[in-house]
Amino acid sequence: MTHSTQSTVSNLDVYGSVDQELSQIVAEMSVKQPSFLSLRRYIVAAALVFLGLYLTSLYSYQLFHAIAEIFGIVVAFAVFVVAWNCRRLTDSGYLLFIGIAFLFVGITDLAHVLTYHGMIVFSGVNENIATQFYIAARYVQSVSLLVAPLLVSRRLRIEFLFLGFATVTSVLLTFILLGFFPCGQFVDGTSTEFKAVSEYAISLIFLASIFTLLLKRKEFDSSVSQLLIASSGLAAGSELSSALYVGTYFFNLVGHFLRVLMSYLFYKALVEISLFKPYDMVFRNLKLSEEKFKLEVDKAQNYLDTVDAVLIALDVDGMITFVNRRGRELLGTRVGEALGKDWFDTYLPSEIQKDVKRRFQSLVKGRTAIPDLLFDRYETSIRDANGVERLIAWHNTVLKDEDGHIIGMLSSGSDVTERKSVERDTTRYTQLLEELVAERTRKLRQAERLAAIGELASMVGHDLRNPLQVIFTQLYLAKEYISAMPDAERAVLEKVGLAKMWESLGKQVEYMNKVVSDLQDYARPIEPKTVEVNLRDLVVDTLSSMTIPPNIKVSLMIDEKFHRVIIDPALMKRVFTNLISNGVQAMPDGGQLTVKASWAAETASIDFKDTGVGIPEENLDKLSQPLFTTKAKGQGLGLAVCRRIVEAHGGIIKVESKVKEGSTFTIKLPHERRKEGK
Amino acid sequence: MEKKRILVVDDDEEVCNSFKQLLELRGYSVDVAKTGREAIEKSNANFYNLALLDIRLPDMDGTELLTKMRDTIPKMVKIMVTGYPALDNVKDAINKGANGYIVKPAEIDELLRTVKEHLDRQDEERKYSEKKVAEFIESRYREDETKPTKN
Repeated sequence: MTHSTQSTVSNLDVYGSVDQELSQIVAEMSVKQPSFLSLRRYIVAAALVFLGLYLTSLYSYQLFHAIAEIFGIVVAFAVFVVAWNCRRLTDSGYLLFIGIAFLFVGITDLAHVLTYHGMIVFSGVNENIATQFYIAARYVQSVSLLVAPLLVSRRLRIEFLFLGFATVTSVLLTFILLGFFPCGQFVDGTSTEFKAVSEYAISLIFLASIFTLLLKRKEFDSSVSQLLIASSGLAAGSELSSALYVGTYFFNLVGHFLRVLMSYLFYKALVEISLFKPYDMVFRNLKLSEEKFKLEVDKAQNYLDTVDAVLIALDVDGMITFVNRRGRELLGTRVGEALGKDWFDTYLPSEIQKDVKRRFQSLVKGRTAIPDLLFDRYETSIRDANGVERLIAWHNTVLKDEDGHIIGMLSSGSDVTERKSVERDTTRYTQLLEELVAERTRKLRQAERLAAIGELASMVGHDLRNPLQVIFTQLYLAKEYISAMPDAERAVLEKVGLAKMWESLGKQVEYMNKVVSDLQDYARPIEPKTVEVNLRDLVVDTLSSMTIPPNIKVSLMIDEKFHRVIIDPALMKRVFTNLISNGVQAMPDGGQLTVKASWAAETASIDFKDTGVGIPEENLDKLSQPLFTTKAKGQGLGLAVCRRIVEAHGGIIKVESKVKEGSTFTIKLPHERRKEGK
Repeated sequence: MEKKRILVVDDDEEVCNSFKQLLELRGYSVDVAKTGREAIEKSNANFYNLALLDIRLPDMDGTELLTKMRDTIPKMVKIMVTGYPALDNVKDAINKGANGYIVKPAEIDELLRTVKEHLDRQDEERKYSEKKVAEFIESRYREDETKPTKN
């Protein structure tokens, strides 16, 4: 029978187990005991067993009978053992009922075997008794099978069952031993009427048990109920064969073969499947609750799927054991696809894999900053379905089993990539704003400072006018006096260089006067009184009032149609003077000064271009700040005043410059509507 | 020829002195006044051909002084001297009878030229008006000559 054990192992696959875990066990077992029995081999094996039994029966019918019956008894006891040990696993009354029933059936059958004619165990016992035991056992068995399916969803008290079956069996055995039981066999070995009727009746009860089983088949695993039905059918056949036997050796033999087969199927239905498919076992009630459980799990999974957070569970090795829908969307995987993969190697950018894994390992080893607080928050980048890195904020909790051992980690993550980028934008805008504010503040301070300088300049200028006037006058007088001196006296003064001194003093005072008047110019509010002016004439006039060194060539490029602009000529002349003299001073070794005017839709532009030394970039910005100058002798108000004047006209002044190539100052003035027909 | 008389009005003593020295060198007779009040007193007591009036004085504005000085014959030439030319100042001064305007610190040549030009014009005008008076007298005389005398 060892072969059949192996065969059933492989046959489990035929039953189509859905339980992965079990099939895994089966697979492992199959590896250890390679399956070599296909259905054909199975039949061959059964045929060999039956041939063996048949040959045994030829040798000794008693031996054959004993083997066949003992097989049935062993199966009956095995069913009891299984039922007994499974009693706490199931609420179903079926297995327990059958198990206890079979215990007593087995006992009765044992009595049958032991009292069978030709057995030497109990000498002097009426052979009829063996038949009576047999019939009693079949009644109990068939009725049990008939009733048991009806009890499948009932909870039964084990002590009552024992008591019940013990009582019934005792009563039957007592009756038989005391001779109260109807006679089963005539002395000549042929059946009595009671025996024949009983066998038909028992066979009907077996068939009826198929009916009750079908009634309750939903409660049974399909393979179990099929086996049970087949088994009951065989039992019915066996009884029928026995009824027909009437002393015929062949029918007796077939009847016992059928009983062996029935016992085997019974064994398969209730023992083997119980052992190898403990969870979707004999009774579907376990499986049903498992399905219910599965439904609950599905429901839970649905809940987890509706959560708008990434949920990922890892085992202690970092292998993925669960991913919810949001997680699958993020990772771009299908259900189950990511399971069993190494989370860190598969989904984290390689540069952070190590760190995050170390962190995970210390977490699942229970090492956290605060003991007993086995969770953790952090942000990591992960690679999404498109290979794009996304920033996920994780909240991690360790998972523990019933005994408190850490078995993994559940991480819930939210995608903060957008939020982070918004934060970054906000930070950038804030910075920008701060910079703008700082810039404005700086400009405002500058303006305040300039206003203060202006006020001061005006005061200083006013206070200096009298001393300057006195110096001017005294110098003039001194020169007059000297020139009025007799030649001899004047020669003495000239000898000590006094005349030159006066001249030098005069120049310096002139310069001082210019500084003061520039300061006052700058401080003075500028209110242009605009009139229509011929630009070319104004430039020519400006040039004519200046001394241009002979090594500087001046060219005017002012279009005819450009003749009139609306400006304050006096103010603009000062601007021109300033810009031209700047250009001239920038070309100590001579060069080309170009004054060019051009006309655009909104503005008139006047360029003053020199080929001079140019202005270093770092000085360009400071150029029109008051008091900035690069000249050894210069107070730095010239351009500042120019700028103020141009701005008072609503225009702007720009400068472009390259060191050693020259500078171009451009005045852009908005032109008011020109008067037509003038 | 009689020296032209000039009154310099300025609260700065050095300015007064240096102008006095300068103008005297050019042959003018110069008096100085350091306040508006002193200027009025002096102009009442003496005749001046020309006055250089600082626009800001301790006791009054130069423009105010313009209106308070007595009219004379020939009319005194009044030239304003100011630190920085502001259009409002200039308008005000001219409306109140100023004949000229000098920005301080003034170029000495320019100052002297301005003074001389104004005095020359004053001379011209005086000569013109004297000539007119003479012509008038002469024409009246001739009228009397040609007319037969009525008993």
